[in-house]
Amino acid sequence: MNAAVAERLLLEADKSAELANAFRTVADAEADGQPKFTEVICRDLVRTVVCRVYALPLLELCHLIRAADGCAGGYEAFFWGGGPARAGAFRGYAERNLVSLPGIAAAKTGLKLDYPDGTFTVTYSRMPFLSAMLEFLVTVIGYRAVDDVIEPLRARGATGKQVSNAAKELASQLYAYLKEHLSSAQSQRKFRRLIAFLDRAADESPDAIDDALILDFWLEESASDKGADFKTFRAVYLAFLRFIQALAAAQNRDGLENVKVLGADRSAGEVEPHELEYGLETVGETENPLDKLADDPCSAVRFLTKTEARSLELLVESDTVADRLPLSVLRCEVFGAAQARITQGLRRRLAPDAFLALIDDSVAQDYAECRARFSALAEHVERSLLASFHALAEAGRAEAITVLLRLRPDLDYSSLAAHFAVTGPEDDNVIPFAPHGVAARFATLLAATDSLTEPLRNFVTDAKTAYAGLSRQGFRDRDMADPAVAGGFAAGEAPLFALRTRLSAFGQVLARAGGDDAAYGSQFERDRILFLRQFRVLYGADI
Amino acid sequence: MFEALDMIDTAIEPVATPRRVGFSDLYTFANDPDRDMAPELAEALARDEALEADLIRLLDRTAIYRFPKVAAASSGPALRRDGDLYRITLRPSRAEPTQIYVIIELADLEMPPPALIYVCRSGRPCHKHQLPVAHDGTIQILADLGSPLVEALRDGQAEVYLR
Repeated sequence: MNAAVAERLLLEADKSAELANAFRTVADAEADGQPKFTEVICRDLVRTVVCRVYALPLLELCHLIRAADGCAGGYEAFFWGGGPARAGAFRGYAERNLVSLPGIAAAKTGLKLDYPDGTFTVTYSRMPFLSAMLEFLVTVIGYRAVDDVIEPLRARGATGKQVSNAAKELASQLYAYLKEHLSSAQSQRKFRRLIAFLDRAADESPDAIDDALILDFWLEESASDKGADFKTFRAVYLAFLRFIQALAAAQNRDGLENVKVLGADRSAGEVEPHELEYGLETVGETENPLDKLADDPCSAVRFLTKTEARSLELLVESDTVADRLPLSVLRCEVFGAAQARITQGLRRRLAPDAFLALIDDSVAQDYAECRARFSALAEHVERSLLASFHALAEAGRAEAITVLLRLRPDLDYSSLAAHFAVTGPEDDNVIPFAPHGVAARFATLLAATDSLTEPLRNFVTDAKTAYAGLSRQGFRDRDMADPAVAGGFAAGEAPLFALRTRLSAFGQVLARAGGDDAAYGSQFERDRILFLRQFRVLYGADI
Repeated sequence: MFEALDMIDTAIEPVATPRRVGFSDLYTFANDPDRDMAPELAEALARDEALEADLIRLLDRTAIYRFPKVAAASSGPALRRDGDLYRITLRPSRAEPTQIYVIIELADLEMPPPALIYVCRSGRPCHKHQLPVAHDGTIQILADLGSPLVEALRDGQAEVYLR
């Protein structure tokens, strides 16, 4: 590498770092001593900016700023004076502080703005994200610049055209910033190294990517002098994961012969990232069940602790790729965590002896323990679903039936048929359909357990026991009366089943791939020697 | 798409770094009477001119009154600032030479009196001080000559905000 190339790469890295720092500034923002934005919102923000799909959010934001400026204290107080950015907080703030202005009203679902050519509503649930977007804008463009752009919106009777112009101006300023700071040089470099390795090791066939190949790549590349892109095993695994996911999405959409490249050079067949939005969605960026459980309305129930959610992150992020690379997932969980401990030790500047001891003691669990942790999480999800059934049935929610049928599809439900017989004139060709009525009848039926078959009665009892056994928010008897909690259980059913499916599939793959604990034990011992040796190679010179 | 996904991973990768100062911190400082300027905010403001200008804009927007810099500042310290509705005077204490009275006179008694005074000097931390209750249109503070508030008020190039 010559000096000019090295300098360019370093400059590119600095630019990327500034953007990453801006995202971290948003993630670090606090309100009332708490994180202002949830992790889900922060991830959405990163995705929206990196994929350059911010045009519509900026238009929504400008409408919202116009409405928010109608609140006492102006738009600044609306976005920064109301505590952590949550839908309920924005709703409460608007209801308390919205001054009567023509054409702006607080509706049940959001703030409604009337214009001569139509109405625009910004929902309360959308506001936390838009608030993060504004926080990001004032971080990268500056408050004065943003305030100058939106100044015309603050006047009474601002038009839809003015709102649209302000959104375009913000988009233009953001585009200019990203042109300087959203550098893909590092990602391109990583991509080229993956391809070059595949070319050498596997005749460039992506199908050849397996656990052994990923480990070989890490052993070969982590100690190279080409920067820190692949120093950690986790970074290597994530790169291969993204490679496989990007390839699969491209295959799904256009076939391999039409694989597109991100970029602005249309003559070279490149496409803008927003045109690949479909592909990004297909790899789970918007349907992550952990994000759903952490966000409203599910967050009214504490289905998972932070530690539990963190333990599931990689598995969920990997989706079905985890089933193809089970050992790599275990290596990430066990040795990736060990490597994180070592890098923390580096920051603490430990004495050489203490640092070498830290490397030797860095591995805190083996594969059997890691499998046991996943099994325990699977059991917890199962218990949460059972408890959800109890809560939903008690609340008379129709979702209880869905949970029952999905948890126990093989039960004999014929005895219930008589209770749900549709009544009405025989010659009437209209079938009465009242799902809420069915749910209420179902709840009554469950309460009178004598009329249930034994398996169904056992299920109801198990569900009640599961509910009583969980003592976290949403699972206490006093939570039952809270409609938000019932809503949380109703919304939580789908992501919980998604987690159940993922954990179950991965558990089966681990059982098939590695066999018994003894086999995993010997695999772990081989890996431990190999990883510790590599850790000493990687970090020995740093002490 | 690999690049986009990889950039997302890189951007959200957790890093153990100190919390970063942002606009939320500016807003809290400008609006929360009980929150003094945190050292990390002072450091960020000293480092980042744009952030400092954002704070001035924010104070400008939220203040009930702003005294501009004292025009054609003389070589001596500024002892008085006159505005349409307010006047700030620094009057040395006769009893204690090391102390000085900061007197804020309000011309319009119908308006709610200010509760905070901010004094901002370029390149230095903005100073915020809670004001006592006004009596007959006058707010009076007895401060040490060397206190940050007095030092800042004596600087003719400082901008003063009441809110």
